[in-house]
Amino acid sequence: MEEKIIVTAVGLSNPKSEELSLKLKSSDFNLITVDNFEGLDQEEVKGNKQLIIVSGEDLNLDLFKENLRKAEELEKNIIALMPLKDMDLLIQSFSSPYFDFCLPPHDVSEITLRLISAAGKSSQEDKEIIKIGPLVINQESYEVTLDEVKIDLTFKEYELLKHLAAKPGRVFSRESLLHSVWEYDYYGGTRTVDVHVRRLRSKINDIKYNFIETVWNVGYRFQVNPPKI
Amino acid sequence: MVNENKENQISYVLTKATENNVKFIRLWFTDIFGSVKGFGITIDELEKVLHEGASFDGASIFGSERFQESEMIAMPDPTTFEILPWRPEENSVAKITCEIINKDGTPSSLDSRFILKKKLDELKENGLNFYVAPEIEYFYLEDAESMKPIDEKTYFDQIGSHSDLGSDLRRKTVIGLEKIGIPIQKFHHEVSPGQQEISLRYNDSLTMADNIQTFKLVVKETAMNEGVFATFMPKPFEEFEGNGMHLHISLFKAEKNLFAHEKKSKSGISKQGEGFTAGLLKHVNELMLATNQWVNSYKRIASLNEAPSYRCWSKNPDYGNLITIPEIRRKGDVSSRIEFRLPDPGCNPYLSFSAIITAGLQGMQNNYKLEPPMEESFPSLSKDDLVNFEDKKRLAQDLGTSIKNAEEGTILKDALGEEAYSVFLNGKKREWSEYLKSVSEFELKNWINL
Repeated sequence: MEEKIIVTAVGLSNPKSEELSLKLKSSDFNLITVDNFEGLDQEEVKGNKQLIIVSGEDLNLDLFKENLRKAEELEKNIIALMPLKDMDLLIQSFSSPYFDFCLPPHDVSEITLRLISAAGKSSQEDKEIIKIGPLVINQESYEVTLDEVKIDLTFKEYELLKHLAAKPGRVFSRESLLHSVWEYDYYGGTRTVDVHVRRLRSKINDIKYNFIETVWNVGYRFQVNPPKI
Repeated sequence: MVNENKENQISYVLTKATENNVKFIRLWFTDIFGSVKGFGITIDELEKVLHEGASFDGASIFGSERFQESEMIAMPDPTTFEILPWRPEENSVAKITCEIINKDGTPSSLDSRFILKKKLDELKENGLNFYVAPEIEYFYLEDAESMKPIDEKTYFDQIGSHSDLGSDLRRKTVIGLEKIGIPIQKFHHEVSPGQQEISLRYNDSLTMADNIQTFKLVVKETAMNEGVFATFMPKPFEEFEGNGMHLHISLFKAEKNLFAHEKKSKSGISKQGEGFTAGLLKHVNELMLATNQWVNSYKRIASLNEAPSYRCWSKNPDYGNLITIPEIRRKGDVSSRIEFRLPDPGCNPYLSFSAIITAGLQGMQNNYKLEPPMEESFPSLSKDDLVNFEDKKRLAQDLGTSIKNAEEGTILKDALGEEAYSVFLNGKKREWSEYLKSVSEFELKNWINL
């Protein structure tokens, strides 16, 4: 049996919380209600299978917006229960990829459907396998294969490949790669990125596949559709 | 954030170790005189050691200067984990480079890696990154006793008069190096019989110092597996060239090469690059004890062949010059660099890099002026010029002079830190005084009949 998905509802009060809890009982969700963000177990929420409901039902607008902002910082899927039908409230939040909402009256069935949809999205995000043409990166076992042959990578090469391949088509500057792959415990500079890209290219037979494109004066990007051979 | 990253690195190492049937892991570190030291653990210990380190007798980092046991902790850097290519695939062996910390968790001031990291922190504060690409020379001998080179080939020879063992070995070594994560730029037979040169692709100086240490072991172990002896001794033969380790160095600020000239430049590099070069030229006598640390190192310097012997620079890789500034045609080229020809592969690369940075930065930050290049080649100098040169520009020709020079300056102390400096200096003084008492073949040959 799969692990249950934990739904933390912030500011959701009775009777709606009981109603929702009842509705979710036989599903894959496990509902926890807390009055405010101070009541939220930060460590718990960091786990993988987590959704957050931010309720605006009984709150004033500022408090609701504040809760929404805090929820977004956690980078989990959020469903906002809007206090009003005023959509302008949400303009900020729409840029977040994790965001969904319900307008009043907050129908329990609708909330459930949105939870199911968000859970689907989040399980896709957690997907452990990145597959691009003949290249497969298994993030669970750290195994990288090319045409089903295992490739030996150092940790940094692996991280670099994963980082680039996770977002094909997006251009990464050397500086941003340095920050996200090497972080702060490092004495190299942006030239280090070039050294690693060169090695990575030779290991994934880039002469043949052209996975990684050098974008002049900018950085590198992983091809969306590497040319088929 | 950093801890989470370290956890990821550790779990990557554990996964790879299991996947590759690693049974033993060697924990490596470098003693103050540049020897790789280490001890082994089994796979069962790996996870604990990656988190907590392993305690050992820290006196070993003093090299020859150890006196009493003192417990220290070797803390592995998980990003340096590599499977050793010359070991079996079943029950295979991996290595991991360690930092040495005291029992109270503070870094040991005698840890070579820490000494360089401290210097790099200074650079980092100014947003600077120091890159190095070394050309490393060594000899293949039949064995250490006979001192017989394995071939009679010479510079860039492809086919030798004897066996092709040398090029086979070189190829195997390069494959092993690539496998262990050390990218190679080029390799060829050097001038003297049995002498090889392998150039490593540039990298940041800390990674490069780690790589040079691993490089030497890979070369030696690969040779040993074929019954050949490899030596990095600076000058093993009187009649042949010595082993050097020329360093191509450059300094970057983000993506900009600070040595690249933007305007017209006579020297071929920027004002900052000129300052750095002038710093090296001015302070070379003080730092030379780090880059050329053995009695034998000075036999290479004294021999007046291809080795640098004078404090001057040139645009051509001419004999005798300390520094070459290669001609770079394009303005602002990222490949702008200087070639520092002094070090030999017997040095401790961590300490040497720290000393080079210290001297170079002094020159750069205080706007030292770079003298004009040495345009004539040394063999064509008139006798008077040569005498003049000898007086003013000759580098130390023996370890004793070099020790004295280091003590008269401040560069080496600044580069190594007080404690490491004093241990290092004591070791060198001991070596010199022991050498002074030794009786050489030269003496026996000339004076046995007295």
